Amino acid sequence: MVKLIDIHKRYQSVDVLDGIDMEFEEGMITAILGPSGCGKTTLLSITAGLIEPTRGEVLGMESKKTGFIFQEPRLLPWKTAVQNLEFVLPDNIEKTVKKQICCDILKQVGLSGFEKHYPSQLSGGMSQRLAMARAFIVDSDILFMDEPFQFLDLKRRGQMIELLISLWLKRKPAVVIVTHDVHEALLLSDKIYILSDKPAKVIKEIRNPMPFGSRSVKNAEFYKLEQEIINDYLLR
Amino acid sequence: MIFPSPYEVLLSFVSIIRSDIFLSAVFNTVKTIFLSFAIAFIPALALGILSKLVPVVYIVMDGISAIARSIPTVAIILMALLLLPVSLTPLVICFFVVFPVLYTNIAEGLVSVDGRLLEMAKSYRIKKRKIITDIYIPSLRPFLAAGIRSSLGLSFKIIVTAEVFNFVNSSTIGAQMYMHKIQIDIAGIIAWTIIVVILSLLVDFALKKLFERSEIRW
Repeated sequence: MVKLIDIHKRYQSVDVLDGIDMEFEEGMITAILGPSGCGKTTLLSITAGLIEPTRGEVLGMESKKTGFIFQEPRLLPWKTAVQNLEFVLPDNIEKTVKKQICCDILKQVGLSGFEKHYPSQLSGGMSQRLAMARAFIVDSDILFMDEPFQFLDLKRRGQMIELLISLWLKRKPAVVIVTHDVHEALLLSDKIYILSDKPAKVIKEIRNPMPFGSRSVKNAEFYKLEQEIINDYLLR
Repeated sequence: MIFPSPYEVLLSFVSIIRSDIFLSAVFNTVKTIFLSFAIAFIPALALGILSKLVPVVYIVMDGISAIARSIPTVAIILMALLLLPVSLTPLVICFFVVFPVLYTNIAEGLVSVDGRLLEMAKSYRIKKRKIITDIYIPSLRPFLAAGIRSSLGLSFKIIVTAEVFNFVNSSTIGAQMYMHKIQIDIAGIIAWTIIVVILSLLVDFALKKLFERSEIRW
């Protein structure tokens, strides 16, 4: 389990995070939900060790294998699809094995036949699927996702969510996903932390009562919970 | 004085190519160009990397290279001729002209490396060596290509100019041009100029092809 204890972050004279406590459990998808610009990405970056908190502690991240899916694909433009995947694989894996692993995951994300394509030759959706393949290829213990679907249209967003779930179900690493979309949070996560406006504090922790499969707008419970979160926490 | 006809220039061009001095003059000049380029390239690369790591070095070197770029080349040539052994002057002059161009390209190339890609590499805990070979070097490549091509082109001009003032070694292109000047042989000067332009274009073409081969489609 990864624990955040009393995380504070101050940029120059602006308080961004104000005493955040959270727990990210193995085999569970946790969503961090909050208004745009409230410091969700900062919190994710602190948890992943990309930036230091002003105060507070991140426990349990030592020696953990991590993956990260950003808002944009962040692919190396001078490398092909396979080379982009190989980049994150450990150096001690034999070259032919590496290639096989890459081709396998490309197949899973529907990019077979695009092995030798450069990012500039892929569409936005394809690039984001490649970025997702990169995150899952490393067998990470904890996977961070920073609003990874926000630049995709509704149809592609749905496809990506389905793809994410199918990849996640294979190993079930801990996933922390940042989003401002209540629907997305309820569809994907087992636990939701709702953050306030800046300086961000946790205003509510919700356990999603619905298991995978029953999370749908057609489910009355899903709709009720969605409206509750919007009205009670995000619009107040 | 009558400006030579193209035919006279052609005759002069053929006679220079057939002369005993031609190959040794070309060899000596090209050797000096590449040697001086190498002498400028190594510290430019080292200081470029250092300026990425230490912000103070970037600020100081930015000022120094701006000053070095604005010093008139003829001032450097005259000072070098007065203060240094004559055989060293082309090298030193070339260093002062080429170094700022190379340094600026390398330093700017390193500064412009996409921070989002570095952050991605950090999030996947990629080793520093791999970050250098797979992110820094490919990002630097277009800046390096531009810097090397423009500074080698500049080297041809500067070295030949410096050789005109260097009378010790007559087996250089610049010294040969000076000989033709003494004889008021404009056709000879133009013929040597054409040779320099051809050499410079050949080197530039080779570099362009070299960088194109290693270039990536993005």
